[in-house]
Amino acid sequence: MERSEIRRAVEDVFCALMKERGTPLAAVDLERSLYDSGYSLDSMDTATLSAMLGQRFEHDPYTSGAFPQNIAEIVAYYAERGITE
Amino acid sequence: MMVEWIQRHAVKKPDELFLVDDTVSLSFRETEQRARQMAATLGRDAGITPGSVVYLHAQDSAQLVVALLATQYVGARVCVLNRNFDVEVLHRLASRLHRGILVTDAQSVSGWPERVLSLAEVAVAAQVPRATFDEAGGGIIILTSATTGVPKAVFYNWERLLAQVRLAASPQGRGWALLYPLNHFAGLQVLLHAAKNGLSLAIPRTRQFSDVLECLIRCQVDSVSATPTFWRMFTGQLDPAGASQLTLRQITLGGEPVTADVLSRLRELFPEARVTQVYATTEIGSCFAVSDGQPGFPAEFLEGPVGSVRLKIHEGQLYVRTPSGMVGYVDGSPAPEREGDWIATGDLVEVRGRRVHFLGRKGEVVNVGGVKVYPPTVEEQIRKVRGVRDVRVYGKANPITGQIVAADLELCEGVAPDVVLAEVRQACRSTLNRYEQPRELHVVAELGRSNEKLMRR
Repeated sequence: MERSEIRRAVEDVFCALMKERGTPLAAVDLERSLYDSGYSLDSMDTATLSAMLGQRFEHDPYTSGAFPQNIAEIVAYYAERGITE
Repeated sequence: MMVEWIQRHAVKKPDELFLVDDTVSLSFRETEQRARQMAATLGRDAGITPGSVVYLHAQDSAQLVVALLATQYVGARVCVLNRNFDVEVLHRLASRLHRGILVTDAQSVSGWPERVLSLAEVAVAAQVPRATFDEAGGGIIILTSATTGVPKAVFYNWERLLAQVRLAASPQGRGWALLYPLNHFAGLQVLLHAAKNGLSLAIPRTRQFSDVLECLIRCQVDSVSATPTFWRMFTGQLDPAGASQLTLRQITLGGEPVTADVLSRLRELFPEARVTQVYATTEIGSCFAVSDGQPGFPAEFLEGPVGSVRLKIHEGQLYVRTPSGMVGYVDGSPAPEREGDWIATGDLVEVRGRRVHFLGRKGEVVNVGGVKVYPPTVEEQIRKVRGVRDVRVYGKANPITGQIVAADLELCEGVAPDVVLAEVRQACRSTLNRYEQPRELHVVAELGRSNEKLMRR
């Protein structure tokens, strides 16, 4: 999968999460922090994001021991390890 | 009583800081004076007498701690309520518990069966502060995590609660941060530890990362106690530059199983800190602490007393014998399962080599970030959705919260799965607490059953 496709797929998962929590997004800012003053994901949201990424891509950065700070880092994680199509 | 310790410190080191939040800093003397003033208002103006019950419903703050102390001066039984409880939950609680005055920082609380007082109003300085405290009938009611929607009410007298708090021969360090809510047993333990040992307690505005970090730096906190879920989130956002601004000497974890990943991350970021795992439950109290940096606890603990506590494993479950647990439930809840003097913890454990490891909770309770979720509660709501034939709810491992709730669904024939799943999500959002809502839904052809019962994982 091309990096641009990975990015779109990760953005889709993230948009689904944000819609689910009642804060739908018009656009995703790749560099914006996922937590705190950025998208304000708390532990429950982050746990959900981990689960959704795992369901969509069969593995996810959190379970692998990483703690991505923004969407760009999640895209980079999958670009590096690859995604089963 | 906690007030006795505050009085002692108010004499020995009156100007040392005890409580610091984002709006106020109070020394031991100021804390003691304010508590006596509030006690005078509660006793004289609000008519609170020894043995009566006072419910505190306020954000964690220095003022809430002062109110807690004030209730001890008047000899009341106090119960700190979760500030996030809405009116409906408060009504359900009120119908099961002893009636009592509600002191709140909310704008209004309708339908409470007794008087409702504003915390700001009772905090106004009384003309004549109360001079003595009344021990008779006092104590604290602690509500357990609401696992079936209604928490159990556990009663402790102050003597039993304080007996569980270690008094250091010469307390070291600057002070603690309050990262558990004060309505939790663990939050009270942190408060009592600071109060008994004459250390300061910093209370962050919220438990968001930036507020906690700001609080730890501003108050020069060197001791922090929190759940593994908190530590995973906090250390995940903390970069080395942020970590270098902290001088943590004591890190404590409790409330849910501690995993190797979080211990390793803490060691990496704070190599100088002592990392301690505490095993405690609201009903049994603090049982033991381990500081060897490994998950679980040493098997030697099963062979002899650990402090005043004895441990044993019976049919895979951890049992505890302790002289200082709760007095009892005060809401009619059935007593915990026992075997003679031994109390069942509900924690399933396994001995591997010379280590005892926690496997999970008896009865398949899901532990989401330290909060218990009973699958039947969730299943009941999901089964109400049209198109769902049956459902099995279970915990799934998660790197952030330890577990999340997941559900396998068997659907009726001819229904559109997407439509049904959307309705299940909506039903869960509107009827369940956030931590109870399934984060994964799987449609399966058939759920495994045995003797007409759902097979559990």
